[in-house]
Amino acid sequence: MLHISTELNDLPDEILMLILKKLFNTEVLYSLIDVNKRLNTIVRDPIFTSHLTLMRRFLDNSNYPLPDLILDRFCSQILPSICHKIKWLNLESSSMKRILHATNYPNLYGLGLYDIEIETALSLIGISLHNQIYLQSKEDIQHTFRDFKDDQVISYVDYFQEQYGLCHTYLYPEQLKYYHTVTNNFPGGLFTCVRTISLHDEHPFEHEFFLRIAQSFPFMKKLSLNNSKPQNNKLCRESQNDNQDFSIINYPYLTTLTLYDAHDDYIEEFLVDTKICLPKNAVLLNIYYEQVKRVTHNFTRDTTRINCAKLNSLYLNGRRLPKYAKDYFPHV
Amino acid sequence: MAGHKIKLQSNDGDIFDVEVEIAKLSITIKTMLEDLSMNEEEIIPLPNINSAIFKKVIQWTTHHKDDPPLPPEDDENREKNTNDISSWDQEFLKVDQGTLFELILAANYLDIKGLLDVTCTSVANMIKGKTSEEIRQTFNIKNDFTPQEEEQIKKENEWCENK
Repeated sequence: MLHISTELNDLPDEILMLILKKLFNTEVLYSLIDVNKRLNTIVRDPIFTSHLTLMRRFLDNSNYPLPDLILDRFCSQILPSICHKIKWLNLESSSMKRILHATNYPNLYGLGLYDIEIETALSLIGISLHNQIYLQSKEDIQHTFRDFKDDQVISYVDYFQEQYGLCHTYLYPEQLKYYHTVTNNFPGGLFTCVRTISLHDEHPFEHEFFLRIAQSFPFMKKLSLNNSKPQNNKLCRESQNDNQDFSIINYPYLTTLTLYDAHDDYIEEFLVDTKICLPKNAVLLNIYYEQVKRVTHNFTRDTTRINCAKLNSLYLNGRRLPKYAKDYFPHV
Repeated sequence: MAGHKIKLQSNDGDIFDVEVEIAKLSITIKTMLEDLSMNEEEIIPLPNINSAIFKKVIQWTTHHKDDPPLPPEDDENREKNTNDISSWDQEFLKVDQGTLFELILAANYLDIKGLLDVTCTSVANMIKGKTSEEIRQTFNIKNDFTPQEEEQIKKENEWCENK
């Protein structure tokens, strides 16, 4: 019997999509655009073309440009051919100018600029600066986007101690589905379309911050938190034993909570039922085993019991939950 | 019950005795047994899988029977770590491309998430970093653009480069 070997091109579209989702969008486009008609159609799907991170990010949060050969191909061929599909670009300082000048981006509504000085950012979009002006206010940035109506742009600036600043600029915020790197400087507002947010700061997030997040993102489903600083007010509150102004925060639509890079205080914040109320039997918690064990006092602590009982999945970065702890998470 | 076995038949007629607990790592087989109330004495046909591939599937599921479940897929925050294939899986996946793609199809049909995940990751690693021409050579893909279409792409690129 003649056996014809199965090839990549024989796989159905849904499996090709599964494979390609393992790669960054830039890797998908670099390798597969213009290979043949079928792959060309698949890789031009918005899932691979709407959000592009045209830089390399390392685990220590350092950013580097794409290798020259890859960047050349993006600027000369790939970006011009998908420019109408691009809605969000993440760029780093040394390659940003070249990428922004490679083509027009008529549907771009978000720009993540990393390791960039504000003067550079503004000069790229046509603002000349006087030496005396030091940009640090949101008004300066708002001015840059003066052709947009007030409710079409929000912006603010964070200066971190560790040698970098973060300039947040969001165009058409009412359409945003993601809101990344929310810090304590977050100016507030109501974002009913946002489903995914990430919180990050070098300064502690206090309980009140989580209340603001719940109010600004009422339909949020996915939340990740990156903050290694302990809370200040927690100690103060515990020493005063004062819970009177301490409102319980509701995250009624939360489905995924990722706390891999969180100080124990934030794990407590989400697991102690007098601080945050989790929806029943709906939340997947991504967390390190040692941390959850520590915060729940080896799965015996009463104040974290109710919220832990509400979790429906627990991913411990590959570790298994010990048998003795299973009763503590009855729905997991 | 530990050690209890069922019979599964590949599309080329071979019958395999497989422990129920291992077979149930396949959601497809689990559903057949539980929801469709199939008799465990019956031979369950697997019309999409030949015996060579099914042997590999049993080998993989036997080795991974005690693994913790994978977290649900999360497209928006998906991790792009394609380096985390265990050394056992790397050795297991040292097969020709045809076998690898057949394993993907089998894992998809049987709904074995872990096997589907690791085989797709393996193919993603083969794609990573290659140019279009290298992809065509590696995966034996024919360039099916007509000369006119090729010319059009070339012109568009030249226009962009000269802009």
